[in-house]
Amino acid sequence: MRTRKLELRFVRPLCKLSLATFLACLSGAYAQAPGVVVKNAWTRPPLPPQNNIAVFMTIDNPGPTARSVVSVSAPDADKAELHKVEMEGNMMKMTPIKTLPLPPNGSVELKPGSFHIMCFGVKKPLKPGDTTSMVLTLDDGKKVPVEVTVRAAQDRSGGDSFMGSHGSPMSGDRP
Amino acid sequence: MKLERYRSLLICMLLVAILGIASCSSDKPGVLNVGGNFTLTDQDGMPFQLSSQRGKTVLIFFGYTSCPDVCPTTMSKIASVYRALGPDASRLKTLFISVDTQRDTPPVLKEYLANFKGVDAIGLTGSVAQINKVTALLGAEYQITPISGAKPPEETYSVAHTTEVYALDPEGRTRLIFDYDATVADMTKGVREIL
Repeated sequence: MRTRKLELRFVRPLCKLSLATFLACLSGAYAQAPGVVVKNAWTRPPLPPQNNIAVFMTIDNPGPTARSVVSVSAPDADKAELHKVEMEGNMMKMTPIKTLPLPPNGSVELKPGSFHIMCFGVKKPLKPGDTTSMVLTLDDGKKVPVEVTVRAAQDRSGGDSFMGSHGSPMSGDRP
Repeated sequence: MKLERYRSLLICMLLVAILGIASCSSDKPGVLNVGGNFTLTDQDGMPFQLSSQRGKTVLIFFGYTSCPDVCPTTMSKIASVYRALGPDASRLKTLFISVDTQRDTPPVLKEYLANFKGVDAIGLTGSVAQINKVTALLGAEYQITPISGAKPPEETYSVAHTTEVYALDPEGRTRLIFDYDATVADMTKGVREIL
């Protein structure tokens, strides 16, 4: 009995030490390789009879390793794809892309007239103020959950919503 | 004495020149060498002729309703132009000409344009030949390209199109072409000049 008490006296501090070391290692590892972070994800409501939305956001890759987004899943849509809009001669063209490169220590902005995530067949009504979720899958297999806020459709120079009086102010798509 | 007379003459000439420049700057923008009458089908399925809009300033934009980005942005800018014009907006008509003849039927165009409150818009469609004629008249371009392996609800073809907005005076002559980066203020100012 006495032996067991002695054992506990040594084992408990050892456990605490191990746990503290483990946590310190974890935090150290995190500090060395910070993960991909998504900020300011937003979209506009679909424009009936269309049932598609373009989703915009800023994706930060603060780590020293180049990453890329390889796929997107959106439970509230039939299908989600990475897209880009680019000029082709005098024309603006939207095309699907297989991956979205995230340079090391860098940031990629998905914005109107550029990269965006296209969601086809949105399954639930979306109005300004609502949220919808999606998950980005990176090339290292890591998954990044994203909460997307629905903003009122609005012009790029900051005018009122064209959708009537139900919108909320939106600033994310200003040039 | 002679010098004074010349000075007066010079001042008079200068004043005339200044007034001339001032009056020129208030003139309408010059007539561009693009445009002309055309026939399409409107959002109610009825024949439409551009000449029916004489007396109104007209904005023409080529797009398609599945466009997630450029077209809603441009249409929302046009909506802001209408608000900025106030009562004068009653003299402005917008023609949204779809280059996606396969999907954008008259009812689709009608429902889509109803999203843009305050815009007095007519959705127009037609055969590929008719659309090609109108784009050629105005110098616009578009391109439909199949996307290999794509299945609905994905887009099975991509649509590329010019993003300019053409502004026609009440006589149907093209006066201004706004590019994609034109601001609401630019567009409002231009439209006011040709109302």
